[in-house]
Amino acid sequence: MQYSWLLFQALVAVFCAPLLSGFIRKVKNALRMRRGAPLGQPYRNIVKYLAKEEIVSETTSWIFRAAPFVVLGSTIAALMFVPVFSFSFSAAGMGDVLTVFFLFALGRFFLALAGLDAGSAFGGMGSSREMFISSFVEPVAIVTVAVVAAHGWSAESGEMSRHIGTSFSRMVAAAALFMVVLAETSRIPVDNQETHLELTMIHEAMLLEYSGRSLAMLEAAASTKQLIWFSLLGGVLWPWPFGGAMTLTDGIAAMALFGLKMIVGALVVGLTEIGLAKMRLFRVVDFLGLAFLFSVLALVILSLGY
Amino acid sequence: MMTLFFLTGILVLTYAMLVCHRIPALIQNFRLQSLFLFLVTLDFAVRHREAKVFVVAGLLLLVKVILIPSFLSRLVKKIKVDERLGLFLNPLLSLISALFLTWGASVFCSWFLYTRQTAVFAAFVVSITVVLVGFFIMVFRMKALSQIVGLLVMENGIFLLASVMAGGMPFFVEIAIAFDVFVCAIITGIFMYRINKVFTHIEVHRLTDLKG
Amino acid sequence: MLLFLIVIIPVLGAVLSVLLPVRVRGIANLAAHGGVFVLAAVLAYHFSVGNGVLVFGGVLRADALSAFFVFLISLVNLAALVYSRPYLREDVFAGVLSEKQVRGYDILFNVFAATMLVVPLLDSLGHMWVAVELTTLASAFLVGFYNSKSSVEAAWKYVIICSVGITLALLGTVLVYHAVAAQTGLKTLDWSVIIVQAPGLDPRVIGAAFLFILVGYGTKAGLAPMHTWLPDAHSQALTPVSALLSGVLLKTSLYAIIRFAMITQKAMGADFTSRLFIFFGLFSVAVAGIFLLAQKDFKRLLAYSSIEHVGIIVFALGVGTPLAVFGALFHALNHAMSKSLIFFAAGNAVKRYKTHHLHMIHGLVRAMPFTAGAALVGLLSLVGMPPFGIFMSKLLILTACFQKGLYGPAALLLFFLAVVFGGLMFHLGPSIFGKKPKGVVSGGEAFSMKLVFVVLALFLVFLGVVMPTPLRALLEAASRTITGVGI
Repeated sequence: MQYSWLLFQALVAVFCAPLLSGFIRKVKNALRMRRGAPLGQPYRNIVKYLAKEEIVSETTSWIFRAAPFVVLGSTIAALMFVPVFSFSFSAAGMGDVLTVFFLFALGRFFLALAGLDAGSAFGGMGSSREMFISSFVEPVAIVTVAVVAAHGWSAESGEMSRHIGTSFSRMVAAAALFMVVLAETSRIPVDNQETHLELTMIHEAMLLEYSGRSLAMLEAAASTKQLIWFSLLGGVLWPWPFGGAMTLTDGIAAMALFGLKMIVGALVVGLTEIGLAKMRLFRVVDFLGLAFLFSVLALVILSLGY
Repeated sequence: MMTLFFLTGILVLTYAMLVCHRIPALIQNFRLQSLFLFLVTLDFAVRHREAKVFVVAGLLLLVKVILIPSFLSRLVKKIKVDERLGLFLNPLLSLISALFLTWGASVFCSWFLYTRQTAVFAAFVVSITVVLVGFFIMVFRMKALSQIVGLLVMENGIFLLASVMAGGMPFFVEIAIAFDVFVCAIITGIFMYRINKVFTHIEVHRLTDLKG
Repeated sequence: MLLFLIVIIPVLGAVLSVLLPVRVRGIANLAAHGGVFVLAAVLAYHFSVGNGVLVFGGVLRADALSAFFVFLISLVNLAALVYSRPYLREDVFAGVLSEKQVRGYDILFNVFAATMLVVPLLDSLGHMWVAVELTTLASAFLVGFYNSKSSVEAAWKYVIICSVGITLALLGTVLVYHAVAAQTGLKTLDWSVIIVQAPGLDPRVIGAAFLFILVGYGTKAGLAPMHTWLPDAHSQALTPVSALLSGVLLKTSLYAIIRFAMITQKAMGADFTSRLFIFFGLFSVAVAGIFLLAQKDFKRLLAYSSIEHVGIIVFALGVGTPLAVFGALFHALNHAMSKSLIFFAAGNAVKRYKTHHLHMIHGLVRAMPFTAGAALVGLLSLVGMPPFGIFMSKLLILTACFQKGLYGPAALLLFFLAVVFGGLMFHLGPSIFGKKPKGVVSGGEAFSMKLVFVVLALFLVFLGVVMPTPLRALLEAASRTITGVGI
């Protein structure tokens, strides 16, 4: 029963993830007084890519072809360890939230290699930047999780959910995690999802050589990853208080709450993106330094017992 | 929960001020911080249903969120000065110092505060941090404007302390203080204008005519 | 009603200054401040004959301490007003100032006077804070009045440093408020209520609050090491305003510190405030002494001397016996008068010699005999020579110090006072008696200036020789208000 729930959760999450991207885009366009693309545009894109022919450069190796599978696979695997609707149903005993970061790192590693593989200038640049930024992001994410985990002395999400409750350290940790989320979902001020033209782009640069089915997989993986980050943030800020066995009504309530969290998250992210300008790469260090600082601060506050 | 959320927001914005490189960013940041301060006060007013606190919150919104930032940004536009703030200490170092400031604030607060209530402790730490960071901005940024903003930030911190602890100080004191802050911003603004006119810059560290 | 009148008359003066033409304005202002002085004297007399606390409308409250400070402020205000009329006239004739600026001066002068007068009369510590901050804001334009590079710079430093200090004082006020609210549940900042509750307040919070208060208001009072704005502002302000800044503005902040110190002493014993006061007092005197020796600017020299005297007053408050507090208050009065006198003289000299530099201001006694006489009296008084009032007040303070057995601090104080003595004499001796440079005209001092000089000088000598009974009674009452015991 537990595992069927888990599978159901994963399926729903993967399916809903592009909707979140579409919604954020909609929010941003609404704030800019534009109509914008319809909500379902990310789905249309994926369907369109799936129908298209895939062209792979002759100079590439197997890594280029394997990367989309690794990225999508690792992202979906990460989904199993994350409390999306509910804290109590994750692949208990197999790993914890740190596993999620490991799986992300795996995906990132392959994507970066793939970006280099085609030998184009953009891909390499994107890869190097991605690794540069991730070296700042990962410590923050880990310290943040450590703060939340310390409430129950476990990084396993089911165990973490049993020690919920608002505390000051948790709030500050959430602030740090929010900045990490902005960086990891390639949003302004770190990256810009909306353009392929800027020299400053990061994530899109690595995908530049992809087409067809592979591109569809990478897009799906990116939006799923975004959903995972959002639900992690939601879990830290506003934990779901159900534990133990879950009835059907509880499940529906949990899903509704999850939807609400995502909407709020999308609104906040949209507002932030509109309010800020893209930073130069070396200013990003300041930004992520701020995030790191908050994670450390959360740790300090935690050590004081608040 | 809500109070904690707003407090964290204020803390984030306060730290974000240290990362600002440009004058408009600093002013906008101050505006947002004041907005959060307004929300804290409003939250208190709604929970305790006190009419006077509503008035204070409204005054806060008017003075600190609308009037002062608009006045300052208009002034900056008018004197057409270089937009960069001029940092004596780069953002990362500033942030690390700010971390120590917060640590110091929490040590200070746990020294004399007996309460174990999270919200009260957080309010104390955040407001003292805000005061210290305001002072930090005054010292480690070159432009006269950053001194004005730093002063206002310090005042925000104290206001936060007062409003989280007890829904603000006695009514008329609160009003008088709001008025005073407004006048202070206007007068320092006028002096900044004069400095620009007399010296053709507003960099405080270059005001060295008087010594000894 | 008396309290209300004292506050409202300068405000009316400001309004009238907006409306009235030049000639009438002068008379109106003179009448207004003369009136305030008389009212303040009446108020002081009210307490010197031993009457109780006065209140008005729940906002204003006066005891002997407030009455003394109001008297002090109104006295220096009146002197500065009388002096400033010819001073500004000369500037207008010389074309340095326009009529419009003079009108601005009159308005600001009145506002400044009103804000200072209201500080000692407010009961709520929050209102008091606002009033002290308003004194800064009102006087900022008077400091930056000439709009030259150095005066704008001085005004900027003045506003910013004092505002920061004052902000810290607000933090201290909020902490006191918190302590009161936590202990008694009373949501009030009224001093008269807090002082009753003071013995039960949490000593740690009050201690922390007092630190902020001392640093905060201490900045405004010119205590070292927060004094850096003071020489700049004093040297660049218009001379009558310099006298006001030095003579009474510093003391309004001291007044605020005293009020908080009374609460703190009740809450945590006298030792804490006493040590802090003695430390800051001695440190200020020491810093002032060192900077005095190396000074080249006439008005800056006097500014450092102000720091020294504030240091002495704070030191005396730290000694804390009724006699010492009596001496401190008496010293405040003497210092206000001597400092006004010598600032007025300095203003005349600077204007005549067209420079602030001490080595260029020589032979004052030949150029401007009255001014030189005033400067000499002021100088001798400031360094504490008999037969002037300051000699008496210093003697009182040191006596109290020895009575209490504080030999070390007393010795240090004496040493630093000797340094100050040397510094002032060394610099000002040649200025008064040296050889007059060619090209400096002699004579030509306005009558009202002479009048101010003579009256202030006579007053100083008078206070040094006899102690009028009403004044003595007032000071005793004020000292009893602070310490709780009679002499």
